[in-house]
Amino acid sequence: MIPETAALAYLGVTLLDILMTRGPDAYFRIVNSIAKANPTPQDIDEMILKAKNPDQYILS
Amino acid sequence: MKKNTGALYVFGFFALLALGCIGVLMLQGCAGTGEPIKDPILTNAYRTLNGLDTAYDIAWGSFVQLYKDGLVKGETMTSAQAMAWKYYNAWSKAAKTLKAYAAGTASPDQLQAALDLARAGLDELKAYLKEQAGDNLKVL
Repeated sequence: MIPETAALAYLGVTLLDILMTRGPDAYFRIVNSIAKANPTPQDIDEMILKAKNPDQYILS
Repeated sequence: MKKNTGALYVFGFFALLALGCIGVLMLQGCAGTGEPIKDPILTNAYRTLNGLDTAYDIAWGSFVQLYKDGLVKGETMTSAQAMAWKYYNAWSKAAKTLKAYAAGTASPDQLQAALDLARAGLDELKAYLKEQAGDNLKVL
């Protein structure tokens, strides 16, 4: 019971951290991507399009 | 005062627990279509790539912010950028291999090798960024 409780608390911290620091987009992205099954080629294309290259972080 | 602090900790713990539960419910809700996984290799690889990208986004985004705040030197940034590109190229190649695998033109071994390279690239990048930025760096 204790490891499950600790894991839930850890998941809570991680999700809250993502939500606070990276915004709702990153939050929903990770939740959706973990839950996603049987991705289509469109899903894969979307994932590739959303990924930012290192220079884009510097320019934004 | 001491009693209040203790109560605050207990409240904080339960608040985090509730957030964790919400996260689990959301995950179940998103996956709740009951659709059976047709190809576990495809699904796992897709989840792995998304997980890698999120971890990279947090670590690299945090490092770039430190650079913009003047806490990282120019030459350190140049080396880090080269490593970030190395990882990004490995990740992009793995994503393309996943697409090829979905189309039936790449083997599971090729996909696994591409994923291993991307994972190794991220590990290397994170280790370097952590070495340079220490506790200031945010990582997943």
